[in-house]
Amino acid sequence: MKKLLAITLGLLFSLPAMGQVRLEITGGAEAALPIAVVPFQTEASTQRLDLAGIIRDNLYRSGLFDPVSPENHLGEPARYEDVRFRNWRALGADTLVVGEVGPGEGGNYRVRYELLDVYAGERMTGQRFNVAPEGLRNLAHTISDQIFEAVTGRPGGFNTQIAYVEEEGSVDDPTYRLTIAEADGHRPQIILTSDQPLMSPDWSPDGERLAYVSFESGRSSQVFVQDVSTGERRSVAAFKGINGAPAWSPNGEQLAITLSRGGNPDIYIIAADGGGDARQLTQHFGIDTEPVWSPDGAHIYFTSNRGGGPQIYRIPAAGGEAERITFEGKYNASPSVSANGRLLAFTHRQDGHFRIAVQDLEDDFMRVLTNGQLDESPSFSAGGSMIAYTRSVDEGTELATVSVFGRVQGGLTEFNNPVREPDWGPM
Amino acid sequence: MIKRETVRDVALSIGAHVLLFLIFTVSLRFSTHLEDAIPGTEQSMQATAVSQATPEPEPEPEPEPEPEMAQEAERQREAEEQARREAEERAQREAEEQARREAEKQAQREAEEQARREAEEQAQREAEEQARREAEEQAQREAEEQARREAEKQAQREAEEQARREAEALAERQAEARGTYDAAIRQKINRAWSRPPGIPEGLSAVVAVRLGPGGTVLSAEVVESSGNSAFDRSAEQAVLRADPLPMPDDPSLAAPYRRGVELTFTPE
Repeated sequence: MKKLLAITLGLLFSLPAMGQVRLEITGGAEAALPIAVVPFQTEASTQRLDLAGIIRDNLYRSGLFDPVSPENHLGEPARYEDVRFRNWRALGADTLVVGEVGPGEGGNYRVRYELLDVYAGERMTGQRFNVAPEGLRNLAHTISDQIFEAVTGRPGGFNTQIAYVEEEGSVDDPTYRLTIAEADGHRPQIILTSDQPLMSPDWSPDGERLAYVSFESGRSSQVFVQDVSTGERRSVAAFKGINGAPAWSPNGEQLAITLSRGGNPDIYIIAADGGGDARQLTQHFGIDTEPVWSPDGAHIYFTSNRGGGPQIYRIPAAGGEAERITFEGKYNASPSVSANGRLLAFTHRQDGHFRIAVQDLEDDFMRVLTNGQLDESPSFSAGGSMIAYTRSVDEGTELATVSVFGRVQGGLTEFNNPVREPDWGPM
Repeated sequence: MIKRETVRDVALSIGAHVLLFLIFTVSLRFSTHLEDAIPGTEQSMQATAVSQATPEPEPEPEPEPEPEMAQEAERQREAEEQARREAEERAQREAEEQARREAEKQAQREAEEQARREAEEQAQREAEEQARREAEEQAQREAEEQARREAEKQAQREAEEQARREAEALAERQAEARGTYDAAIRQKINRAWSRPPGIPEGLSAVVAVRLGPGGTVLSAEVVESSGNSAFDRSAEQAVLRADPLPMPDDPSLAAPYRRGVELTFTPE
């Protein structure tokens, strides 16, 4: 009997080895992640800023999140202990953000938030902050960054800035404003005003300076570098003819620019502080312009009409042969490279409309992201999941973003004045 | 009339005498027969007969007195004769007594010997009988033990065979159930699996799932990461979103699933 028992037990225990269930799950689908961002609980009359709303919009624009409309929320818990996960599961939210804002010391605010995994019923991350009133918006972006990174494993880059040129006034008497705004288009700050055109702003890799083109001297263009916080500026390129389209090298020491001093526009490299001579990189009778560096600094992408219509080419930054990168369509211009160097965004003409497209630089597969009439001047976000660009509306052109994945596109703010050439700053 | 009755009386009297005579003869013969028929009594009877055969000689009648000389010689002679006879008789008696005693001794020895032998034989028989019985008992015990052991072995073999057959039958039913439920689980999780766009290609993650009764997901944990946290999370959440997973009601069929499920998530 004992032996029999032993045999039976032996059989039982030998089964797991052969009975282990292993399954392959192949397929699934890509979809924006449903998330619920509950309005932060706020003590009466402390402040009116909707932090949850800012976070919700940020996450939505990334194209990777699909925030649940607050009207559908079931309750407004402020902390983990108050959350009834079953409700949020029923709502289809994968993740949930709760938080609260209260008065802190010296007129500051104390802000606390928690990111919760609805299905696991667990806290994923969270933090407490003590912040001055003027820091609340940035804090909303910081929290957005933390949520984005906790869920997607990638940096968000919401707490960044976009530089652009705004044009005000009549066509006969325009005013140009070099402007920087938060990544969601809010709180624009004018850092330079001119009655002559301002063009092609480009953030330095450290985010402290802007290079741009100014026609302030009257007849010809110059490239300036301006310290954003101090307003200090200096001309770094004032060659004969065109001085245009500056682009910072990744190490911040050089600028690639377009000069026409050789007779027609070509790409040159100059020192970022303007010292020394310009090194000519391209030499072609066609127009070479709009240079951008690859993140590793090894190549420069630029627009050239050397093949007839404008197309994007690539040339080693040290010099060499240029190779054509874009082949789809007859118009591809204004390149921007993603921070990981994998994707190239550009303005692509499709069916007579200008749209934003991205091309995978590894498999050369191109996708058109936007569907406007006149979408131009793409610039990758620092996080790489969004592209800022300008799109045409009835009144003119406005700042817009499109998600690289997930096809979310839209204007950032209410139209105010026409804007041009946005450049998304670093993190 | 009187005459006839007398004749009959005479006849009856003669018959009765004849009958009496017959009875006497038979009884005599019976008693002689009886003496022959009792062995062992013969010796003592004989001895008695011997002693009866030598009764004390009765005194001879005094002879008539003879003339002196002649008479004296006669008396002398008779006395000698007497003595001689008596001596003879005495010797004979002694010899007989001697023989009798020897015979008795012999008989006794023989009887003793006989008794001894018989006792020995008896003892031997008993010993043999004892040994035989013991051997028989031993043999029986051994046979019973053997039978018992064989019965046990047989029972064990049968139990093992039974267990094996049951295990096989279970394995077969489990395999069948696996076909159905594996597919159902895959389908449900596949539908529940959505990952954020823009995740790099070529990723794969393994999620270990513990299931409770009725397919309730007790835990889902990435045991082999894809290296991409968003991908890993999407796999974990797919399992949790598909909770409960399809599982057989029969506990024996559900057993493989209850022991744990490992899911490998691969986009394509």
